[in-house]
Amino acid sequence: MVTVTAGPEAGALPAGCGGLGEVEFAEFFRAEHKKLIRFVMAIGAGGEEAAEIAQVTLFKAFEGWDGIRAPRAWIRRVAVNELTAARQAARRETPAAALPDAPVPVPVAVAVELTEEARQVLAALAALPPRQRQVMAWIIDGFGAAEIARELGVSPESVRQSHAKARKNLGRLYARGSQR
Amino acid sequence: MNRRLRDAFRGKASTQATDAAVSRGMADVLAALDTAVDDDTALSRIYTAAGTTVPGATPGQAAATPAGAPGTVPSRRRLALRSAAAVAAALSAAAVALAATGLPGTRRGGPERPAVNTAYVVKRVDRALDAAEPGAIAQMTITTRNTATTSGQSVTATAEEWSYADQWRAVTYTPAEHLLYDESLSTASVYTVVSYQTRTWARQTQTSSPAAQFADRPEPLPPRRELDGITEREREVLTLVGRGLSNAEIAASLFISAATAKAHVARLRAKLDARDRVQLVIAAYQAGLVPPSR
Repeated sequence: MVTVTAGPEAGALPAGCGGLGEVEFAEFFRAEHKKLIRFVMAIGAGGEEAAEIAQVTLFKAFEGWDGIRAPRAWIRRVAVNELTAARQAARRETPAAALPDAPVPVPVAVAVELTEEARQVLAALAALPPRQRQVMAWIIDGFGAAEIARELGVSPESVRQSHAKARKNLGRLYARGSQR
Repeated sequence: MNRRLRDAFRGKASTQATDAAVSRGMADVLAALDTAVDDDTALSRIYTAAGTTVPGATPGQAAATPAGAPGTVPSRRRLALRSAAAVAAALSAAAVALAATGLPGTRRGGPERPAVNTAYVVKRVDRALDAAEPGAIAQMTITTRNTATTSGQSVTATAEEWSYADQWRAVTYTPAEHLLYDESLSTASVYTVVSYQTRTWARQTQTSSPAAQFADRPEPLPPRRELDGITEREREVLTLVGRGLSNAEIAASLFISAATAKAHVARLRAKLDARDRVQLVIAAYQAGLVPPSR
């Protein structure tokens, strides 16, 4: 497993060096934005939702940039929380009895056109149990078991086990998918 | 022994094939995102959102943005950003002037890059049009800034163009769009698009008179059943049970495993003294977790 250490590790610049931090952030953003969207998609969100989550997450990263030490892991952890929060908020909304005065806006679709293979992989990931899916998403983005364990608050051994189970399950899902 | 070895190898080969398939599929996702997502626009949205409230971090901001009307745009966008996850993009399309924010790191190439990628804006308009229903109500706001000189410092006027039409297609022919296309304007003065928003609403099919609204008003609800000793999580599960979801569906929407969902339901049954799932649904309605109509 290749462990990629984040570039802007020296994010804790003194307050006066805001300019440098922003250049750094812009580079980090360009490197990670799409990967983060993909990560959220792997966790189980649609393209549009994932893009929104990524936007909100990176905005938070920009706000707290100087205090974030491992930004690559940070944005992924926050994105998962954002997704969970968004899902919960959506669930708590109770349908109104009458139409509101202001009509409800229809979101504009982000046209992400996926290949057959990509769709299959995402579908297989979606069919995994949550923990295995999450571990897979981190591993796809090149994180090692020790790092993942730290982020998820479990032992490295259980990360490895989840990964092994996920691979086995994915193999089974593929076998089933190709038979159809 | 031989056979076991062979089986083991076969197992290994298939996991490797799975790994390869996963990495290929995920590479495909990234490639698809490459065409669908514009990093620069997303980045500029973040700068704009942060621009009004991050003190000291934006040294060029004060010079480029005059006090007054333009300042309100970022704060509105900021709100949209904040609630974006929950509201699913109320203000969904936005292209913001990179140059106007005056932040370092917003551009990389030469200094003469256009403030807004107009091609991108037009693309977003097209997409919005394709996504909307034919009868939808549309509203588009384009804020432009008329800069007298090319210095980029002097901002002379800010104009907001509103268009309102009940046919989506009509939106494409508003003056605002001419503004985007009209290159002859650049000779006398430079118009840069500061911000851009579209909103669409599904058309309200029936016009409701006050009398009809009164008739539609639901009857006063009976007193609610109290849910004693139910945790917040169990309340969520009960709500979903009340909406008729299966354990597997509940598991999927709460990001928990099916077994956990099942455990929650079993515990709810015990706590609420419900004989079966049907009685749980009744409890959910009596507690007002699920609205009676719809």
